[in-house]
Formats: sequence, C-alpha cells, structure tokens
Amino acid sequence: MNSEGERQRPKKGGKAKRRIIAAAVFLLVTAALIFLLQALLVPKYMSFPYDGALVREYYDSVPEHDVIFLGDCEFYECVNPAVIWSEYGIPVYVRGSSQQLIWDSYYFLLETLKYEKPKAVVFNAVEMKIGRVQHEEYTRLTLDGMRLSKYKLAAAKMSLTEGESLASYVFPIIRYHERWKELGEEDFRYMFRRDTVSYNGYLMMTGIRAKTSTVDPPALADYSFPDICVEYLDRIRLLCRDNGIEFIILKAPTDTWHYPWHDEWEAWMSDYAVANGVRYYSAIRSASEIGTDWTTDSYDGGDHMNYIGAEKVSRWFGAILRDEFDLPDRRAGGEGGLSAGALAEWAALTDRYAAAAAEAGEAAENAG
Amino acid sequence: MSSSKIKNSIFWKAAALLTAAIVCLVPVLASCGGGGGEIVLTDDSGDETDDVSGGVFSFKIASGASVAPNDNLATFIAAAGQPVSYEESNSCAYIGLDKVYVYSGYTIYTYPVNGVDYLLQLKFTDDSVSTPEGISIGCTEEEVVSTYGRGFTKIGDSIVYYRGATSLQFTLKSGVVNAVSYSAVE
Repeated sequence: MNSEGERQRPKKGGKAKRRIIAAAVFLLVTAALIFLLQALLVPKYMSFPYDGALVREYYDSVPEHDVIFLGDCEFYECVNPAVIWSEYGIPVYVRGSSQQLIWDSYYFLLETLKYEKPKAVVFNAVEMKIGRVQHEEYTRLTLDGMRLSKYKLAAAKMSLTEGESLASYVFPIIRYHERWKELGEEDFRYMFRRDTVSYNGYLMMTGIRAKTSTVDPPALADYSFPDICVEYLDRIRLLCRDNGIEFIILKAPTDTWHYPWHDEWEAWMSDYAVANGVRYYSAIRSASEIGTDWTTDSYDGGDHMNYIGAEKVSRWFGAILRDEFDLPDRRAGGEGGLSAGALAEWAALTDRYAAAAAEAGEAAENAG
Repeated sequence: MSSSKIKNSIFWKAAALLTAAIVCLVPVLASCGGGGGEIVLTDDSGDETDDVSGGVFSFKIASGASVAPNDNLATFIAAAGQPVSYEESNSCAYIGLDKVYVYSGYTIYTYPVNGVDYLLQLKFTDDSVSTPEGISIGCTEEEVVSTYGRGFTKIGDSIVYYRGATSLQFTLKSGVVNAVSYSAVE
C-alpha cells in the first residue's frame, strides 16, 4: 500500500502540474488569438482618412520639442514643423487630430509632460466652440492612436457617446469586431507596423481649390463658448503655468460659412488673453502679414490650408516664436542643442518634406 | 467512476466551459460596444421631427411647400426649385458633407445623418420673404412680440422663441428686425 501510495503521489502532482500548464497554455493561446484578431481588425489609417494615424506617430519621435501645438485639422494642416525647423531651428510637434476637443488637448498635454517638457504650448482657439462630441468617429480618430494610459481613459470617458463603453477604448476589438466584413489588403499589411504619414504631426495636403464662397455662416442665438470649454481652457493654461510653460493661443486662418470664426468669439478670446496674461494671435487678422492668398492656399475652398498656405503660416508663426518668445535656434547641436538622434530625425524629416513639396510643385505645374 | 477520473472529467468539463465562455466573450463584449465596425453617425443635433403644425417652427414658400428645422430636406428642395447657388463642404476626415443652398431671399444650411440632409438653419437674407405669420426683415420688435407673444428668450440683440427642437430667432437693431433664422436646437 505504502509503496503504491508513494508511487501515486508523484503521479497526482504531475497531473496537477499538467493541468496548470494546460490552463496557462490555453489562456496564452486565447490571449494571443484575441491580440492577433484585434491587430487585424482595427483601422490602420494608412489610406484615407490618414488623420487617424497622426496621434500614434508622436511616440516615434525623439521627445525634444520646444513647442507642442494642440489642435484639430486647422492646426495639423497649417502648422508645418519641417518649415519652422528649416527656417528658425525651433523643434516643434503638432499633436493634432480630427475635431480634437478641448479635453482631448488637455489630456494630450498631460501625457506629453510624461515624455518631455516643452518651452511653449500653442493651443488652437477654434476648439473653444465645440463642447460636446459631434461624431463618435472623431473620438476614434483622436484616441485610437493614443497609448493606453490614465489620460487616454480620462479623455475617452469625457467623450463617450450613447451605447459606447470605456472598455472599447482599452480593447478596440469590441468596437471594430465587425470590420472583418470590410478587411482589405491594408489590414493585413499593416497589422504590426505603420508607415509615417505626417511630418511631426503635420498632414500635407497638396490640392488647390480656391475659396470663392461669399455665403455667410449660419447665425447663432448665443455666441458664448460652452462652459466646459472655458473650464478646460483654464485647466490647460494653469497646467502650463504650473510647469513653467509659455501658453499661447492661436486662431488658424480658416473663416468660412462651414468653419466660421465670429467676431464675438474673436473679442472673447482677445479679452481672455489680456485678462489672463497670455498671448493670442489670429492668423485671420494677420492674413496680409502672412500673405494668405485664398486662390492658392487652400485645398478645399478655404476650410483648410494646403501645403502652400501652411508654409506661409509656419514662416509667420515661427518668426513669432523666435522673436517674441526668444526660442533659440537648436540646429547647431552641442551645448543647448538637440541630441544627435533628434538632429538626425530632423534632417530626415526636412529631406522627406522637401522631396514631397518639390513633387507637389511639379504636379501643380504640370496640371497647369 | 474513481475519484481521479471524476476529477479529470470535471477538469475537462471546466476547460470546455471556459473555452465556450471565451469564444462567446468577444461577441458579448462587442454587443456592449454600441455598434459595429461600420461607422454610424451619432449626431443628435435634433430629433427627426415631422413638420407638425404647432409642434415646431416652420417656413413656407409660395408654392405651399414648408420646411422645419430637422426635417429631411429632399421634398422641400425639390419644391423650391433651382437655388441661386449651391455649395457643399466636407468635414474633417470627410465625416459628413454639409451643404448650403442659396435662394432668393433665404439661405438653407444642412447637416447630414447617414447620407440624408436635414435642415440645420434657414436664414432670411432680405425682406422679400416673411414667416408664415407675416414677420420679415424690417418689422419692428413690437410687431414680432404681438405676433409671437412674450414667451421669448432674450439673448444679446436677439429674441428667440423655442418650439420643440426648433427655434425662431429675430435679431434686432434699434428695435427693428435685421435678421430672421429658423434653427435646429441641440
């Protein structure tokens, strides 16, 4: 009996071990399957709309930026870091996304501070006008590419629309499980990698469509900004102040019936800047100084800038950053300069942009 | 059945149950996601409202066709005929196409939901048109109030009446109406 018992004991222990191993393997395989499925099913944004690829590209850049721009499409299509670097040697990054809401900007800034501490933050004034999520797609375009963190969850929580779950921002497969019906070659090709579509957050648009509309924008009953926007504007301003960061507000050049910038809003923003000791710049007001030409500088009739308009705005604002905020030229490297890795990244970025701009110019010339 | 066999059987049953649970997990979780992979517009800037007399503010043209904010515009646009001009503009990332129709005397702005255009705002551009109740640009504040009553909200230079998910706004300058607009209310 004893000897039999002694023989059985190790057998029992072996069974238990096998079960544990089997359970662990089972769980691992299941997790791997879910991971693979998720990698396959989430949108890659490697073709239209590219806008959804912008946010994740920030994590690939060397975090040595003196200026971070926070804003929506107005910003990521009119602020070109390659131009600002080439002309002034100021390293900037545009943390932009489609219809970025002001709380997204706030959480992007908090997240940015985990990686780096810029000297200045430039905020797009137009975000003040939208105090609620208009389309869930915009939240996805903004947050899909954001790394999972408490900031992402906080931003997602603010933007949840009816029927959405916070879990779907942690496990995007919950949101995209039905995409299997529309999977294409891109989904397989980019399961584990992405191409770079932006120039430090700048999305280059090459078309030209003149602004010809004379239609006024719809009237508003109440021109005051939503309370939540005012609250988050204060939060961003105070966050900058507490971290010794210069907070700058900029209104991009757009002013159309579709994306209007009302006089009342302009007045409010100017008053806010004065009252709180921050600088406010309007690319609408400064159009002649910038040299904005709406027959050539937009790709969609004046709603957004093409690369020609973006180059002008970037030269104008780069000079402001240099002259009014004393931001130094960091191209030299060495003491006070950027690291070799960052300099190499900027060299590659400016080369890539120069080639793309030359190609766009050639295409425009050929088109007549 | 020996106890070890029973235990073995329970283990595999549990494993099978766990497998089934996980297989079911994704669709169950997915059902919490509030939608599938197809991007569905969640714009709720107004209820889809029929042009119910008394329930909403509506505008009427000479042919008798009428339209209210949040109405599907197809019928009205067909009745209103060729606009003086028409423009459309894509939103960021091409999520939605907003349109504007300019007619003699008024301009119409639309918002899209699932490819259908709804009336966001109808704005008078001159005094050639009037509300069905007879108010046009150039009328006095007293005429507006005697027509629509005192149940308005004063916002800046405007007096605004609300009815259902619609509003009717009169902007005044020196006591005279200089703008009129019907709008969808969020």
